[in-house]
Amino acid sequence: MDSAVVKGFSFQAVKLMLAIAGILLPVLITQSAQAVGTIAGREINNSAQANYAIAGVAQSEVDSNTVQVYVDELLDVVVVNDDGAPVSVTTPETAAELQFTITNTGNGSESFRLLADHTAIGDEFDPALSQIYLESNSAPGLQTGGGGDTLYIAGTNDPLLAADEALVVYVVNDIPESLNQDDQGFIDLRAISTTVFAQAGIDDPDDPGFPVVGTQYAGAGDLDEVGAANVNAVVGTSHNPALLLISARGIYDVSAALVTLVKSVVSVLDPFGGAAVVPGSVVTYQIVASVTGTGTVEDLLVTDALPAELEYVAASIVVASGLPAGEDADDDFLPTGTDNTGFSAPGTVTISLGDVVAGGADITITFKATIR
Amino acid sequence: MRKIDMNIKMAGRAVVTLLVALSSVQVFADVNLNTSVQKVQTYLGDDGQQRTRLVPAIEIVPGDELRYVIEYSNVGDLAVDPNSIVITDPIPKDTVYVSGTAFGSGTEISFSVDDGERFLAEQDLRVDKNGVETLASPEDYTAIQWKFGPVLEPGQKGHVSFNVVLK
Repeated sequence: MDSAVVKGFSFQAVKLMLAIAGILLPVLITQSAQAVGTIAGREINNSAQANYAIAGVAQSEVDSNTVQVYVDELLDVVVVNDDGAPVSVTTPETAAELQFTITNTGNGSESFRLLADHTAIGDEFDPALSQIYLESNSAPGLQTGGGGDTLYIAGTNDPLLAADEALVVYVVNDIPESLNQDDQGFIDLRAISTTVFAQAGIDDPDDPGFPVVGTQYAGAGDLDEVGAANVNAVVGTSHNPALLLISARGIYDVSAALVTLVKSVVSVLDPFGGAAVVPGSVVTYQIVASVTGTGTVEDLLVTDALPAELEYVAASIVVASGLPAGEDADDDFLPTGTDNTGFSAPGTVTISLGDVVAGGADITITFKATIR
Repeated sequence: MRKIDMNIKMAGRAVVTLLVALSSVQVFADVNLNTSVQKVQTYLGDDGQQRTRLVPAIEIVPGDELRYVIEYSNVGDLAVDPNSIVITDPIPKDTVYVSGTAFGSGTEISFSVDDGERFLAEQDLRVDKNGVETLASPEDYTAIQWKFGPVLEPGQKGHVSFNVVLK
């Protein structure tokens, strides 16, 4: 018995996920950007006035002294993973991307130190850390190389964000080989205010010495509005360890799409109207292609090389069922409909199924051959 | 001269403030005003209950609540007429008045939503919201006014106060 083979498919899942993330992104930015309140360094003055009369005669208005308070700089940042769902990867895979948005939710101008941590527990593998990129070329998604997004180097180009400003960053990792289906790997991206890092010398929220909410750093904030002095910096509520908004998790999920082909004989018609397998009998073969798992197989090509004893029956290939909803048999498959173009010398049936999303209905192919 | 010294001490770091203070005391006023500000701090008491206390306010962060206290005193030799002392104080920029906190013993309190053009009782204040005249809410208030009823005899003093939250 001859056998059907599959070749030439690859995985589109990551690209698909990024496309979805790209659509959701503007919404996410809107949600994470909170009104930060009065800007750091603002001087708030107040003075009262009084009018009064003595013996029926109105006196000149008197003013009180002026009291002043200065608005401190709140250090707050929110990191959000934009992928929306675990990012499907293969094993191994190089340069698999995660996308995050970092929003300065404090009330001052602040730069942030970024760390991608792969040591979180609870996952099956540790992605091999490679790079963080800062979105900088205004083209959605990650582009590397000339004219692409900027490679991040901690301490060198820590992104400076104004109050309420957001920045998209990409974390790029390599996925190890020999992982199992549905294995997951976690990446926790942290944004640490450089003021916190400079003052506390710690960029790990799990460190007991990491500053608690409300910690004040005298004179470490932005300049006051008259330019006379720097206000204090205050560690904001995004550092609350229960929520830890300064960190967000991206997840890689090993999810290979699996293609299975089942070939069978549907019927045999001998020259005498019976079902005997003799020279001259016409055999109807069926190949059922199933794509299971997750992701998309790209350029799925089913080939079946006929042995010398079989002669292909012209125009007998039918891609019969399992078509995506709303599409005709003629739309996506080659050969289209019922014809002969899928048969080529030297005796190979070739059906191109194009890109097939995993989890869809089975695709049934039939063709006929005559026994020589 | 005593009063000038006091005002200079209170002027703080801004030159502008010092000038205001000087100009205000060139008139030999009989009524003196002194404003102070403190932060309303919430803390957990020994009994586990949330309590508040006043702490010095020098630097604050968005969301902090401030209490402004204006002390008025008759430093002259003559009594000030009843119903004649009117103290006004703008709601500081970037802050919102905290509903129900305006206080002043013996005073009638009113508010403005037009930077002090008109002062009305809270229930009479109206603002235009998207073309609809609506009862003003505390975030619409721009100034507070206290009208002191009794006579203020020489040497007597009192105070009024209100709270705001930093936006």
